[in-house]
Order: sequence, then structure tokens, then C-alpha cells
Amino acid sequence: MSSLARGLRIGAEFVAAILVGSGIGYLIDMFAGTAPWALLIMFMVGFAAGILNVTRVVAELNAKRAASDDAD
Amino acid sequence: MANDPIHQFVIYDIFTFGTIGGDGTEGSGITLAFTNSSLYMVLTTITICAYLILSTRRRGLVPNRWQLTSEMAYEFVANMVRSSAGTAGMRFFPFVFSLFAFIFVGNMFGMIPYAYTFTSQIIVTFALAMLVMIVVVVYGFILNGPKFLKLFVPSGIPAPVLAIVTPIEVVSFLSRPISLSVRLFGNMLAGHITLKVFTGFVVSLASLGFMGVLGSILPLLMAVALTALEFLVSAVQAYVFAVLTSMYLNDAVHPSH
Repeated sequence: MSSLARGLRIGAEFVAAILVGSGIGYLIDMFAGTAPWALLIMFMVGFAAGILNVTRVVAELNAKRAASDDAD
Repeated sequence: MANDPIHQFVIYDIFTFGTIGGDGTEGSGITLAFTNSSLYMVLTTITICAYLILSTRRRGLVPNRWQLTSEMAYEFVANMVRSSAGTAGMRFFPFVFSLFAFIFVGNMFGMIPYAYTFTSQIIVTFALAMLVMIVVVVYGFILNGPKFLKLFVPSGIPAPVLAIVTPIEVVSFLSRPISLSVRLFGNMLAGHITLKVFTGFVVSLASLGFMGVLGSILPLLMAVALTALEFLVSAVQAYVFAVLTSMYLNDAVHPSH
């Protein structure tokens, strides 16, 4: 995998989680009329999920790199 | 305008199947149309089927050149599925192979001048990503029953922390189709626009006389390099989509981390 693809992958994982979290919060607010609290909370949850996604991707890429280093 | 870098993404109807609902005015109701995007999807499917049928027709024990290439494609995807989802994941091999072949050949069709790149439409890539997610959820419940929900509840964590971790895991799961589709869509869209912008520079500089023609050599070299890069990106993105699909399918087969 090229370094460009790696960077784009990590970026997409992070942004997607924030978008999904904020979207869920916005929908909850719209239906429950609790604006802006659900949006704020779910934004934070989305942020945390984004960090989780990024750590998972990086851990997986590191594992792959370690495996290919052994093969060399 | 011939130089418009966005013009290549215009969708037009080739023929329509008629309109459902609506009050007869322009733009109301749902019109089922066969667009240029659909045309390239059909062409892609026909190309894949023809290639696989023709290359495996002889089925020799000693393969000829064509059979060798399709066997290599099989081995490539099979190894990918086996290393990500294990032997139990091999039941999804036809699914992953179809996705990989569809995206790969579709991207390659997009590299032909004047052809349409259907993977540069977010709704197409999103539909593919949602297909993957639906397969993961449905098969996860079929294979594991309610144990599939353990995916969202990591083991060995005290209950108060679990109340925070579970929503995070759910959002992380729900973000997968978005990141999966945006990555493919973004790469193809950005690549094709950059390519078009640089080749547009060549044309507009070359019309400025002698110095312009000299100056147009630089963007021309850049366009050649970018074309090579785009071929690489097309292949890599199809590979990434297939790898991530098999990794997500791994969650359906083995839900506990």
C-alpha cells in the first residue's frame, strides 16, 4: 500500500466516525427536541470513535509491517 | 466548455423505463433511467464474465496464458480472504471476488479517455459499502445469533466503563460504510479531476503561441506521471476495498475480538 493510500485511509476513518456521531446526535435532537445536548454528546462520542478507528488502523498497519519485516 | 474538469462526471439518460408516481410535470415522481453510469456498470459486468468464462473454458491441467491470469486473480483474492477472515471466511469468497473485480474493472474502464468512471459517484460506492455492511450484520446474526452483539461489548471491562465504551463501539461500527465509500469515491473523483486540470493546462498554454508551447511541456509531463499514478490508485483502491470487506466479514464470523 502506498503512503498516500495509508494517509487517506486513516483520515477517512477519523472523519467518518465524527460525521456519523454528529449525525446520530442531530437526529436524536430533531426527534426528542433536546437541542443541542444530544448533538454535543454524540459529537464527543464520534470523536472518541474516530480515535478508536485510527488506533485500530495503525495497530493493524504496524502488525502488517512487522510481519513483512520478518519476511525480509 | 471543453476544459471543464467536472464535465466528465455529468450523468445523462440514455433511455428511460418510465416514471412511477408524480403528477406528470417535469421532475416529479421517480424516473427509472438507464444512464451512462449504468451503461458502464453493465459493460464492466459483461467484461468480467466474458474474461472469466473465456479464460477458464479450456480448463487445462497445464494452464495457458489466459487461464493462468484468472487463476492468479483467484489466488490473490483467496489469500486475501483467508488471511483476514480465516478459513471460515472462505464462504464469502464469491462475494469479495465479485466486489473486487467489479471495482477494479470499473476503475480501469474509467482510465480510458472519454469513458465514465462510475466509482466516482458517491451513491455507487455507498451502495457497495452498505451491501457489505448488510451482509456483515445479517450473516453475523445468522452465524452467531445474539452473540454477534458481543462485537460492541469488549470482554473484561467493568460495567461503568462499558456504558461509555459501547456507544463508542457502535458509532465506530456505523462509521465503517461511510469511510469505506468515501475513500473509494474521494480517490477516484480527486484523481480524475487532477488529471483533467493538468491536461487542460496543456491545451490552454499551447494556444498562447511559441512560449506557451514550450511552457506546456511541464504540465504534459505532469499529466503523464499522473496517469501512471491514477492506474496505481485505481488498483490500490479496489484492493483496499476488498481487504476491508474481508476484515469486516471477519467480524461476522468471529464477533469477539
